[in-house]
Amino acid sequence: MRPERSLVLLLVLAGAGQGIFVFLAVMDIFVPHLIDGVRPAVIYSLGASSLAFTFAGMAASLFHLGNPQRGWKAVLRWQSSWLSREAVSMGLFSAAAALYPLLYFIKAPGGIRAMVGIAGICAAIALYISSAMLYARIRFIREWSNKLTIPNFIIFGLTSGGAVSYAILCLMGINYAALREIMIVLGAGSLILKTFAFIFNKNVYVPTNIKNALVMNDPNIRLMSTGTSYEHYNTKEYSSGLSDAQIRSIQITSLFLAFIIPLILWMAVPARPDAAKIFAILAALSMIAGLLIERRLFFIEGNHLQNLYYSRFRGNAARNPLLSKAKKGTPVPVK
Amino acid sequence: MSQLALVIDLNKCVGCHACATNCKAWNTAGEFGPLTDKEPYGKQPEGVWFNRVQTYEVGKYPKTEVINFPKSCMHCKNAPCVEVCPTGASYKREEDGIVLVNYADCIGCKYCSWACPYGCREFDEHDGVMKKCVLCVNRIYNENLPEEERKPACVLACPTRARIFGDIDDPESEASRAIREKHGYKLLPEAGADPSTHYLPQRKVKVELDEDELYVKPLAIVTIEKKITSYKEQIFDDFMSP
Repeated sequence: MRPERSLVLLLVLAGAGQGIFVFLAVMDIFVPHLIDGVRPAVIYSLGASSLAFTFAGMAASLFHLGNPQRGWKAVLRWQSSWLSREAVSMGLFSAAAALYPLLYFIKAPGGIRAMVGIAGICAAIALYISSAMLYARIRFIREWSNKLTIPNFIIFGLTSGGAVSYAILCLMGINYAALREIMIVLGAGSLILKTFAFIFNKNVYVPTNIKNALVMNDPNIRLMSTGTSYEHYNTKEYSSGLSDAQIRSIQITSLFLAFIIPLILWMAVPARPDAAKIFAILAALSMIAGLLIERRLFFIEGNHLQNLYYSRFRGNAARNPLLSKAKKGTPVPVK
Repeated sequence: MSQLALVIDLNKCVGCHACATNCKAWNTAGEFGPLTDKEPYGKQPEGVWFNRVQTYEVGKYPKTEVINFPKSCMHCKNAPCVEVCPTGASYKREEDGIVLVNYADCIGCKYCSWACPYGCREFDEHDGVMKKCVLCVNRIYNENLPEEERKPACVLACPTRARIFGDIDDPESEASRAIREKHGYKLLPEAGADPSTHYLPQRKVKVELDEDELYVKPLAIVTIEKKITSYKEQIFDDFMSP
């Protein structure tokens, strides 16, 4: 699939925003003694950054739409469409995330704040699941429609949110050993999950081919003409136009930036607060930059079934030598 | 319940693109238009088409066949594009099974096109909405047109009558008969979308002439004779092939 910048930004930024809120609410509600004394600073800084990340992601997603002015209509079909469920849980989550620091500001009773916090955590998890199901539901892309997609969205989101939270807390001079240990566990979990995803995508087998697409019982089927003198929506939207070598270099970059470097940095965080600050910030920056590349890769690796009709199906389908030689932006050669 | 659909005879299709151009001409001017173009007269023309004709070569040289393959929305009975639409803009009409997009509700999220296994939806970047074959719903019920013209534009344009339009749920319709008698099939049956558009297979036509038959020489036979002298028992698709 063609990686679209707005969707990559939405998934990374909103995912981190949800993760930050989950960390804030869990710390404030379930382990309140951790932030005794610095509670206002923690709630305001993490609350504000959660909102900022989420709204930046939402704003980016509007650029994906052809008609953003009626984007609100996306909530209408929540019974059937996962995109609609994503929009609904996005609304609920941002309401909870905005209300939470506000309730602290107006000194509302702790019980109400805890209820809003738990509702926000539930909405964040629902948002992770519906974002993931949106992709996992498309059964014509095997790289998306598998059991790894939902854990992928939840763990990567929580890890990036945790990385940003930890960096912000270190920046304010609050260095929790417990938080660092959680980050190491989450980072290692992400790395393991990503390794599984690599193995799955490398061995993915689609039990169909161009013979079935055209229903012709002959192994030698060659596309001679797409019927147009240049590209069109179906040749552009469903393929990234990148070669296998380019995809491999993107895989390696994302693996290092998003998973390995942050994990090493968290494990090596020194005890001195000013040095810890630098390590935590570097880890968060590397994680966000790496996830932007990783999410781009998620789209690039998606191999849609309809590519069969255009001889652009990667993997177990016959390739068209004419099309694979064509560079991006040059007209498709037509015989 | 009825299900209007196209039945496309690959044995007759010569790949002239008349269906595609007539489709674009009718629909770009109608209620479902315009089908906007980008650089239509430039070096890299792009645009929205409801119907496209692709060409494949099947087999190994010298025993190859050319398949001209028109593809437009299949109006699936179990349309995967409809259930994923977040606004309900994409819907399937109960009365005749045509899948349509309500442009006023479409937000242009492109999710329906991802859910389509056939790649039959095209996004209009100018209007920001998803567009697709409407089975000329504004023609087939149009009482201002003479009765014989109340068919999709592609069906009317086809010079070899390779396209049949009809109700495939009615066993007596021309479309159902063609599917039944000429071994009609669906594309990608394993995708589970249950498409309504059927294709009729390209058949191999063998021309077998004895020596004495070659003495009768109408014009068509003369051309055949020339080929037979070079390739004994050559396989022809039909007389229209070059």
